[in-house]
Amino acid sequence: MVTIKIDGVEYKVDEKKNLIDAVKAVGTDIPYFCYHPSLSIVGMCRMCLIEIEGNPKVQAACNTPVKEGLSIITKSKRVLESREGTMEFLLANHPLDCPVCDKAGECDLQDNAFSAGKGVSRFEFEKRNVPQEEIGDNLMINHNRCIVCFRCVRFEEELVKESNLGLFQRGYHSLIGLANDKTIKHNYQGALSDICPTGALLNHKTLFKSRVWWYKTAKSICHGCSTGCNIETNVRDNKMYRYMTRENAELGMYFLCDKGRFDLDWLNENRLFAYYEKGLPSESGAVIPKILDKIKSSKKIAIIGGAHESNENLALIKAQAEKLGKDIVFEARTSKPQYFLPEQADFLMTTDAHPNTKGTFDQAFNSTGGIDSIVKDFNAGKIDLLFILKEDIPAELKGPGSIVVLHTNITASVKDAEFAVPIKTFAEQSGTFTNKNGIKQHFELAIQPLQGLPSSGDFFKRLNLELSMKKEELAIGNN
Amino acid sequence: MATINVINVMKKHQFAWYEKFYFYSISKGLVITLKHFIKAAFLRGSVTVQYPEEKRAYSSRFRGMHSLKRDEQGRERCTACFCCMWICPADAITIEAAEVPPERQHLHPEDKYSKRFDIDLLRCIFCGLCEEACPKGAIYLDGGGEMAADNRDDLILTKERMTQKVGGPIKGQRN
Repeated sequence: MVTIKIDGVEYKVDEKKNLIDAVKAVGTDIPYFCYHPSLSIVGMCRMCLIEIEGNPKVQAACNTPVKEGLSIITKSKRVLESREGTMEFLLANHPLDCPVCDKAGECDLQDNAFSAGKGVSRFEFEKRNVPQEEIGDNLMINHNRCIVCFRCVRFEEELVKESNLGLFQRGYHSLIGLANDKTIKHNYQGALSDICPTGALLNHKTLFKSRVWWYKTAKSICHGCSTGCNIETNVRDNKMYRYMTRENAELGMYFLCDKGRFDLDWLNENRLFAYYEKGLPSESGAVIPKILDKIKSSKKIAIIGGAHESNENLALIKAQAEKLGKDIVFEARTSKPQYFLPEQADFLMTTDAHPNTKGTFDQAFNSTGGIDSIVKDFNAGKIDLLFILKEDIPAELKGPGSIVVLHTNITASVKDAEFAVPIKTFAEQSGTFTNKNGIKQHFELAIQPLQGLPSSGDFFKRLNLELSMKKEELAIGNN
Repeated sequence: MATINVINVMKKHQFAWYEKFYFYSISKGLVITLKHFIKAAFLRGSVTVQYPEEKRAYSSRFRGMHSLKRDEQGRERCTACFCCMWICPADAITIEAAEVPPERQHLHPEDKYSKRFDIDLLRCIFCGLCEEACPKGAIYLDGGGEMAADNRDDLILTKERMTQKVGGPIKGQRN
């Protein structure tokens, strides 16, 4: 910690932080475009201008090292005037097509133009008009909106380690464009459009779907892999529209990969809302008694899967399943990467596509023999009832026993299983996921679930309840 | 205490002897009728209009049916920014936005357009907030006040029905 003076007041700030972040931590905002905490510093936008005592000119704050005795002025007339000037230059060629632009509402350029801009422009010539380009299979660039902050190029080079984008020409003619003929194909096109402070980079998948201010947001955790990136869910009309990154400086989480970001159609479409029996829709009153009969007559029960479920659900399943009074074996590892330490597929994504594998270890949801021994036992008839939690039915499974699939969507496994039970998605409940590093992260309810839809834990609770009830009690529906 | 300054109102309105006479009063009334008759029949001084055939000009502030405007070059002004849909207190507006396909490029100043733009007149309360919210001056409630229909479907204003048709049908549409 060092002592610096901000607008004449002394503060103790962290010298390891960038000046912008250090100043923000003590409550003074400096506007910026090109600075990003996890990228290198270029000082290209000139928005974060401040006065430094003993320095005749205004300086960029992002490029100023934090050191003992530094005295800066962030709100003097000169600073505000120079920021106004910067803003006027940035907006000289900006088309101001906010009604059309998808970024409107969460646009840094909009925010800073309102807070630090002049409000009027003296630019009276024809604005530059460069047609927009497709630069990736899910990404396009609108050159007119670009303010050449260089964030996208830095992000690609420093974190994705691919150099597809580059800055061409100079001054008035500057353009961000593809460095070679190939279009961008990597897993971070959504992150590129997210990191862009203006609406220059946009994704096709979310283009013109909605406006930003309509979304109800909830703090959540990405369901895509075991990294557990912090996200904000954007829900409108009880439908999931998109995920946005929720910045978490402590854990260094600023980005989200495309696989996690755009994998949300399953929350809205093709949902399983009915109990299924032998591949055909049925109802709970018909299916649950049959499952109960199976439980009563079974010798050994196996519950596989569960790495998609929250820790709370897992605990409930475990407690309720053990109450059934049968020999029960749990196994959450249904895919190969779950048996090894998490491996990175790229700088964020891991090979394990389950959000809570680590959580299942903590809850002792794993058997010693692994999935193979369960399949062997099932095929040999030793296990005669198998619950599958939101997983595919293993291909080698051909035993005589019954399979109950708990799933959120109508998949092949739902059709193939003897019974299928609808359960809530992670967005329809709150809970915690334990990520690959063992950090327990909480997610909130984002979508209102259909009334009566059980979570996986609730389903096992109901099984126990109906098992303990007498026939007459069940008949009056006292459950 | 005696009452002072008592005014007998009845005394003021007492009829003169000739006024009490029936024919004087009736003909005085008939003269007024005759005056109005001559004014209306011969001097074109009538207050009413022959409604369906004849129509009165609306005030410039009158809020009636919605219309979507075009700019000087015949392009649609609406860019599907959803501002009207957002502000609408009655939830009457439904917009679906899309990217402008190349064959419609000459019809739109921007690259976003409203593929679908429906106003449910059954829900609309004609408050005019959509007019106010529109940043492009695209929607105005400047149509007439006659919108009766005999079924509900006719009361959904589609884009085709709303869009200004100055210069014939909507360009780019085959019909």
